[in-house]
Amino acid sequence: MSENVAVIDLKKVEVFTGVVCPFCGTACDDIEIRVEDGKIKTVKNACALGKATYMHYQSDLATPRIHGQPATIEQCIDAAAEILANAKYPLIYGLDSTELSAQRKAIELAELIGANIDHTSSV
Amino acid sequence: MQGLQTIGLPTCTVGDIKNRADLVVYWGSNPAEAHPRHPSRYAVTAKGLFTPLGKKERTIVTVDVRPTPSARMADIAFQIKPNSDYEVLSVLLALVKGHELDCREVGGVAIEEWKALADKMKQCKFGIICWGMGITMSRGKTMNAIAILKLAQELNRFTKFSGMPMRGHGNVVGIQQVLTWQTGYPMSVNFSRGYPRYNPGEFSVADLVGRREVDAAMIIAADAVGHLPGKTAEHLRSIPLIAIDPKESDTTKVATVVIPVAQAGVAAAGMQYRMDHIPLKQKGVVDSPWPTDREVVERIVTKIVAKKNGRSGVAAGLGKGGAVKGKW
Repeated sequence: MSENVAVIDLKKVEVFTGVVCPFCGTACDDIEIRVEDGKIKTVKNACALGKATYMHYQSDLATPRIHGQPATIEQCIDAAAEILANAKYPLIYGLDSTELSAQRKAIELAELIGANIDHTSSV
Repeated sequence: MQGLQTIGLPTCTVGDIKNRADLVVYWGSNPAEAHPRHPSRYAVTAKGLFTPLGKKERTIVTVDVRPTPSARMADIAFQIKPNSDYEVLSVLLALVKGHELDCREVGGVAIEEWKALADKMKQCKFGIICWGMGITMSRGKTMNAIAILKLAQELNRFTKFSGMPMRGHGNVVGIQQVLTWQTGYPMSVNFSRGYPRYNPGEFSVADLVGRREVDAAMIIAADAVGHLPGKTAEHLRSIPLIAIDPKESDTTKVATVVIPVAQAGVAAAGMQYRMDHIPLKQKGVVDSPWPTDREVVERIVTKIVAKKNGRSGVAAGLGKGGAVKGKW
């Protein structure tokens, strides 16, 4: 399992080896992914769930919006900060399908605004 | 989780299962559908240092309330009555301790069969019970997990035995680890007084939102509206809701503010904890037009700090809880 990324420069094909699958807790670390022109083409070694995570990543993506109206990321972040700063007893919830540095930042935010912070394994 | 806090976790890594385990019990979990590669990489067919013949050298046992696809790969599959896990586990513990029991059947299975399982557990070289949501979401909840761990601890008088929860949802172990390391508590943490307080039942999400206490929510990397109990989801719909998610979900459909992000492990690099508490490095393999989770939260923090500074004219105590003074 090499950490290296082999770049074959024909149609900008990248092959990633030793990728850790983010879907379930088993975190298989031997996934092989071939990316052509920024699109995931093949996923090797993964199970059906892991494969679907990668293959369907680019479909059904969320778009930035406020009250259902399209907005820019900047406006959305402004609106979010406004809501959280004005809340008396806010909740931060989730955090399970993301990575450690984001989780750490979210805890910092919770402390800053005096929020409750909880995640899915408490349900 | 509370089960672990009560009694401790006799644990091992998935590598230990692969290399040593000759008895694997899947209790209330369905790895064939929920963790498809767990059996093949680690627990059933995997060939390890002390288990060179793979499945031939292992005894696979499943305990569940219904026949699952996982039961097909098992050598012994128990089908017990719903909500009888605690009873069965207590009986197994008694049998392991050598008590004679005056009953014919437990949980719908003859006592002789449980006796045989208890003997198998005592005689194995290295055993493990992998339990899943079937345990924690049925009657008994945390008590069931405590019973499993107690059984595993008791079995360590005779042989080596471990217990491991089958954690799903990608990095749910990670947030537990990070919360514990940052605040001292693994979940349900409240910062309203400026310092962390821990009280599941009071500060856990289902109770807190079910009592309609929160007045704003930020849902990040989870689908709260889709997965939480009905009443809880209803309240979330009625308050200002921020959804930070790469994909459309039930939460993003009703959220006031939707912030799309790059998905960790696919479009964003980072670290993730495996179910046996080993951290692994995730790679980002494709580009995303949207920022990462960390970047979004960081920018929100910066905005709020600036806002607070502008209002009071003094520096808000970022990270020291000073910012929340006077709020409660």
